[in-house]
Amino acid sequence: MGGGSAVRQYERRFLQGEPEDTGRKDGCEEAPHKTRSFGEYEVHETGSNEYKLIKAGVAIGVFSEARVEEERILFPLSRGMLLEVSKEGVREIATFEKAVLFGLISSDGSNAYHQKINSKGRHHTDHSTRFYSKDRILIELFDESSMKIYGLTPHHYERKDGLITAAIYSKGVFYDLSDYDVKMGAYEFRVPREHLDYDGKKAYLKGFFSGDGSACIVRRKRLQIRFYSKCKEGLEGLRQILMDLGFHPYETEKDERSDNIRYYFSVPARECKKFMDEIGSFKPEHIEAFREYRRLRGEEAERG
Amino acid sequence: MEVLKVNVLRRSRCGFDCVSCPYFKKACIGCVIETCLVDKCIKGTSYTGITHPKSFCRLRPYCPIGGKERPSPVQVSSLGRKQVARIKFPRFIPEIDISDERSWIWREGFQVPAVFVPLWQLLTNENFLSKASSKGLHDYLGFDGKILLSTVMPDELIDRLETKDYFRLIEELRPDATMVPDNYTYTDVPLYQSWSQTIRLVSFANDFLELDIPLIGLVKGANLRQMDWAVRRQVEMGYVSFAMPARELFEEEMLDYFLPQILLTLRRSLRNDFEFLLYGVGVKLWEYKDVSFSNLSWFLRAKHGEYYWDGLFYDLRDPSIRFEECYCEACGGMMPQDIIDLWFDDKERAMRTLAAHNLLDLSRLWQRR
Ligand SMILES: [Zn+2]
Repeated sequence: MGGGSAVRQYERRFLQGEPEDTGRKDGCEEAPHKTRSFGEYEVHETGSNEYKLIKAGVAIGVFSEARVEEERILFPLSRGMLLEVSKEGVREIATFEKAVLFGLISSDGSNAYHQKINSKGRHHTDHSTRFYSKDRILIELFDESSMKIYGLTPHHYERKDGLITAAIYSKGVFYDLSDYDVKMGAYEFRVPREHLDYDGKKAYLKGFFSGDGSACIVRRKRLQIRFYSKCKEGLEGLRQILMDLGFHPYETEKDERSDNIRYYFSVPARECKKFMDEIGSFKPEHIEAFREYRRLRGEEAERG
Repeated sequence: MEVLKVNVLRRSRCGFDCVSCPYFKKACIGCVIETCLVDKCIKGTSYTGITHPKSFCRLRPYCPIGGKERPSPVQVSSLGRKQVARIKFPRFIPEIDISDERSWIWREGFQVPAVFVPLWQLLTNENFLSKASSKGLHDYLGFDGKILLSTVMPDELIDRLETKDYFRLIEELRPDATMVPDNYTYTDVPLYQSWSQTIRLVSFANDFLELDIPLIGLVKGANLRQMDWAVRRQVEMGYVSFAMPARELFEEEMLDYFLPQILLTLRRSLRNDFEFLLYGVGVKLWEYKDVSFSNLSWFLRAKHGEYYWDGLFYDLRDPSIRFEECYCEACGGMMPQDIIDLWFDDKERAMRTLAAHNLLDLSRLWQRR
């Protein structure tokens, strides 16, 4: 396949071929390297911390960074994603920040385009990714994720009633998030389970719960943890990843108190502590409820 | 005069003694490549993945201080000759993606006379390979046009296959024609490597004469001398259909330097009794009138919402084409704006329409404007 310049070939195929100043040489020795196999994949690791990923004898990537774990190796990709290589194969998974962002957008966000016709009759398309909240701390979290993942600072708009909109106007971000279908319509979301590892699932749940979750003390001492949404299929996806993490969420039910069609499911009371410890929330109101619950439990324990 | 020439060329830029090189004096004139990566590395600039880090250095055997022996030189075998049948290339031959059935365009009801199937995709996927080799490609793809096997593949695979492997694969896959095996020839790597590869290509082309299907010779080389040499040897063996994998040369703006020269060599040796195909170039080059084309770009670009018009591609929203109606078999009067509207309604259908349109546009014989 190789023709033209080898440097260009490496740029194209592996994003390599970067010039490095290595100094004038009189002799040259080979550095040692190690090989690890994961099913049909092999990773060659060299003394100078470079990793070459090989499938069926074909190099499919060269990476300068990697996190080597017992059962897998992770390589950083762009836009908050990682390439996970394990016995099961290769897949792209979300970093903690990206999984949180997925969760936030699935709950109280949007990812959409609008076509407009301007005064000259020309079509024009606006792409935007938004997150809505009255909690400034959640808006800041969205901003931070956007900065870390895309290097973009969202614009803010605040309504009189305190609802803040943080908006990113970028075609690139729109298409990136569309690829994962995390938010397809105003009330329609999907859990990108295939792109979430164990920690990714926790991060996604924490992001989603901070938007459309509820944590409150009922009957003066019991903690009630619920996920709400108009999208029943999405809620099923959330239940599924909770089960992946060892929870036993109750079945999804229709919320009869609401005027609009809305569904919810609850986390069993016996698993509330596990939920607080392993998932938690970014939302101040939830954090306050968790603290109150721990205080009540402490008092109860003291009373014996 | 002769003495001066030897003095100038006896040492290549990197310090290797060219006079003792087996390829020197015959075809090669010695390594004086200004962009040579071995020369650059010795002088202080290395390139990641190629000469840096050291453990990956692929050029160690060609480096005077690399501490490794050069591979033994490839010998030119005595060449056979036979009358190789002409393929009769259509003007555009789509390459397909074995792993994405949406590129199997005949299933959408579009008749195509021939397609290229990339062998490397089968080699890197055991599942496809076992299905395709048990049934043969025609049955596997459900396609009754001509199936041309493309041997253009990543370097790592090229190194692993010998003549007997190709013969076994061809016997099982039963294509209607095949390219001779591909090679790699880089313009910025010592010529020893590209000469070894060029001779290897000719030697494979010689072995392939044993096959009883039509054959496609390849035009490859790191410089004009290598391309010319390889083409002439294949002509001597009886080859009349040629493909030039030219994606890289086109992107690096070197194609216009090589292509007219190669066409001239072919015209001189075969008069007009040959056919020529540019492989892997993603746009239509109208200035080369009798040249056929093949690429996968018609499909890849459709997946990214890109639209061909007169052999060039545009974003669907590009104002210069957005409201131009197209009366091809796929569009039936739709304009790109209609495909955009369809995209948001039924992405899959829009993508398929776009892909078929792209294929039909690249197959057109005349420019629309
Ligand atoms: Zn059309």
